[in-house]
Amino acid sequence: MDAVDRHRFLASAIVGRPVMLRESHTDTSLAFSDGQSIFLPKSPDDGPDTWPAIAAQAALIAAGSLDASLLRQLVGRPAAAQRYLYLEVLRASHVLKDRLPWGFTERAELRVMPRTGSAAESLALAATTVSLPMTPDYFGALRPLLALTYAIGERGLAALSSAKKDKDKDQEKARNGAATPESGAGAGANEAPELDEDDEGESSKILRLLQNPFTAGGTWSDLLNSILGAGTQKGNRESGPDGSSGAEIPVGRVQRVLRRGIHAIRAARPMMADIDASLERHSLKYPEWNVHTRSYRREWVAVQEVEPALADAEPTDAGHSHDGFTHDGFTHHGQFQRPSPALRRQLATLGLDLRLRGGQNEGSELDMRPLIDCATDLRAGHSPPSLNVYRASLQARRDLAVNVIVDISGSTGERRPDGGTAFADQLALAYQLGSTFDSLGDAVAMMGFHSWGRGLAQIVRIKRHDERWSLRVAQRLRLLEPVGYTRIGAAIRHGHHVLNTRIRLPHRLLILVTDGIAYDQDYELEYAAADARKALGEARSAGTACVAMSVGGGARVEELAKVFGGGNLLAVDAVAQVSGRIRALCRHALAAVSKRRLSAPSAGRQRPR
Amino acid sequence: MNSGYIASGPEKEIFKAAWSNGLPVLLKGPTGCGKTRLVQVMAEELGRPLVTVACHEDLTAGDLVGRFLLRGGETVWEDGPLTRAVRQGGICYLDEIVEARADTTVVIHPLADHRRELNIDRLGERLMAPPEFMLVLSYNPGYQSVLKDLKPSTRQRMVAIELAYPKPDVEERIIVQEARVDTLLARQLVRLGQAIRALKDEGLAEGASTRTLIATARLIQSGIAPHVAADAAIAAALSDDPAAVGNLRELSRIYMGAA
Repeated sequence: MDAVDRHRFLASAIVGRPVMLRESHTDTSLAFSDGQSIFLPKSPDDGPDTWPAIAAQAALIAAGSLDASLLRQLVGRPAAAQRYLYLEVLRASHVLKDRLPWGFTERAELRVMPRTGSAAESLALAATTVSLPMTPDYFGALRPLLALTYAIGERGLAALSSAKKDKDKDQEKARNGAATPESGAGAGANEAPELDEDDEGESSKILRLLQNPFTAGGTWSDLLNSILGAGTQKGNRESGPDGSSGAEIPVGRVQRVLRRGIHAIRAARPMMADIDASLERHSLKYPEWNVHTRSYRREWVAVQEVEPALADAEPTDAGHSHDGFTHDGFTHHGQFQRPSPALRRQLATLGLDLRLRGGQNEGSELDMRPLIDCATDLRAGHSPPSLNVYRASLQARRDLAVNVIVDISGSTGERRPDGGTAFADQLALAYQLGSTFDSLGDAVAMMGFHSWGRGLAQIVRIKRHDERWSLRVAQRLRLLEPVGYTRIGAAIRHGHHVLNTRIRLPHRLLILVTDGIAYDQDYELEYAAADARKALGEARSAGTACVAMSVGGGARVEELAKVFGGGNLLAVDAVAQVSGRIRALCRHALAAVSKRRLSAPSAGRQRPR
Repeated sequence: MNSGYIASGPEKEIFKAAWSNGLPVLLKGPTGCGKTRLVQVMAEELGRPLVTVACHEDLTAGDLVGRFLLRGGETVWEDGPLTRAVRQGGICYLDEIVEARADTTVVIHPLADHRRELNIDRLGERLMAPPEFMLVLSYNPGYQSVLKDLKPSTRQRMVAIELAYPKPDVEERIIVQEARVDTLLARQLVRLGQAIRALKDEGLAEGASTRTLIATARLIQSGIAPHVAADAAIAAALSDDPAAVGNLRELSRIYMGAA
């Protein structure tokens, strides 16, 4: 187990929310953070200073030291950033001492009283030339620009607006700090930005942009927000020429968006998915129904299952988030909201199976203990005696397998008039569904799907059915991108195949979360609808209940209703509305396949090829 | 009387006031936060006998109230724990009440309101509870199945005392007192407990309880190395998932100073 795996719980335990540990792709020997994840040096040796480095960075996150509004003033000023890092690790380890390991807070460097009482005070003191002790290596490094671009990616330029408001106040504080006796003749907040490795080439453009007070709102911010939010492709990111962190991405994204246009992005293939002969061999082949000739095209669509590219998530990718993470279902930290109790209640009674229960008033066999009670009651002259003396099979045990398949094609990334995207809503819904089913003890698999013609329909694994629910599910969801097209028949066939061959429980439910557009190369309109209907028919005859869900899909859901049937479709305007109707939808679908199974017990499990 | 109980809040005062006013109490809180300990201590301080019933889904009203038994061809009545507590003027503690079926818990309703009476149908007897009798229910809202919830009619008869894990300084004193370990060890354990409780989204059903931390401290007091004790009493006890247990072990090693 490497350091990243071994210490997975440490950072989350200190911060109190899931924090990802990642290996840095840059040549750094120090740990650093973007406010959400902690990056460890490449191939960390897991020496004695590895966990303290994680603890120090986690403490910075937990103490609010990496707040974008503060870090904005440290961009391009490495000396001030270094002083701020020292002061803040000291302050954070003091504030959080009840949560930090004893072996951390008792280190010699941390046994001194913090010099500052808040991050703003640290910022003010850091802006001076006050002399501070050497920063130990395990404090790691501060990457203001990285944290800043991450925050902008998460919340748009709103992340900076508080900085703008606070700027005068902070400058005032900085000046006050400069006037303190120990600060000496500091240059205050008005000192010229010091150049560092983050500050060269193209990165200075974004630096100027970030430092421009007019970017905190208005047309510029809207434009930049929309560019940052437009569907982008994680698998295809370039490193900055100088290996700089964070600065390249927004600039590169601006250029990329302008160069290619939305359509190009939607159609872009992930780098990892380049087809070669070996991948072809490893694909699963599914048939497709040709409505024109009324026959199957055998082995027509190649479906590949892939892992989302965790390793691809470069530290330079600080601004990677699409704006979906600020919408319904996401918290400010880009975490998914926990499922509502209402949803749990609705799903708790699905997939019930039979279980022997004693003390029933009718049943197939006698329950000895109440029977003896009954006999003694009769003997004692008590009347009427309790006649709950049977054991009966009652519906109780859950035996349900669920496969949640999310449409992650480019169309889902299109912005609606309300500013949201179907993509963000769908991920939020998938997370809520998966998390709820899992907590109820059901076997849940989760997958994303998109395609680039019949040669490559890609299924991205989000959660395997036998995998424990963990932070990784949310991490994988966060790595998905809305790109490619929708070959819906292949997704249904593969989803059913997984339920039928890998999970194999008596009740099987396939939930397709989609925006309703079946479109791919040579796959549209009547042809697509007929193939999807055929795929659903195959799945249902083999005992898999299939339903579709669409969030904010508007008029597009009509296509889905035609394919799935109105009773098997749940179209809502917001994720929160799902809990009100999901139970009826799933019960109806499960009951329909049960009936079918009972009436045709010999219905095969074979899928046509 | 010094029971050695270290309170986190006004729970003892509320309990005593409820007892002296004939009001039933509902204790809410996570596993191992001290619900049962509080009831034991209060029974001791109030000088009342304590009758504890661990509720489960096959518990019947007869199990609580009593039943006729066959003895040498004769039927003999035997009081159930609830009836016994009423007759003795004791404290009847129904632990994890939501595990019992709703048709079972209705027998406590007349005892839990102003009537304070227990109807024993089979004997045709109505038993009036003496002033010293008290009904205490416990319930872990975060743990039970979603299908199980306390009926509003039962809930509304109760005075609720909400217990949580104690604050770090209080928990430290509790561990020192219960396991007779030094303050430094108790502090390390409390920090480990705080850290594990913060891992809500990592698939652990429950955090490390105060009871778990005391158990760890006792193992250490018996000569087991701190990180080995934490492995046994915390990491392996909290999860069966090998990856989660491995991560918890690493966390224990760091917090117990073995890393």
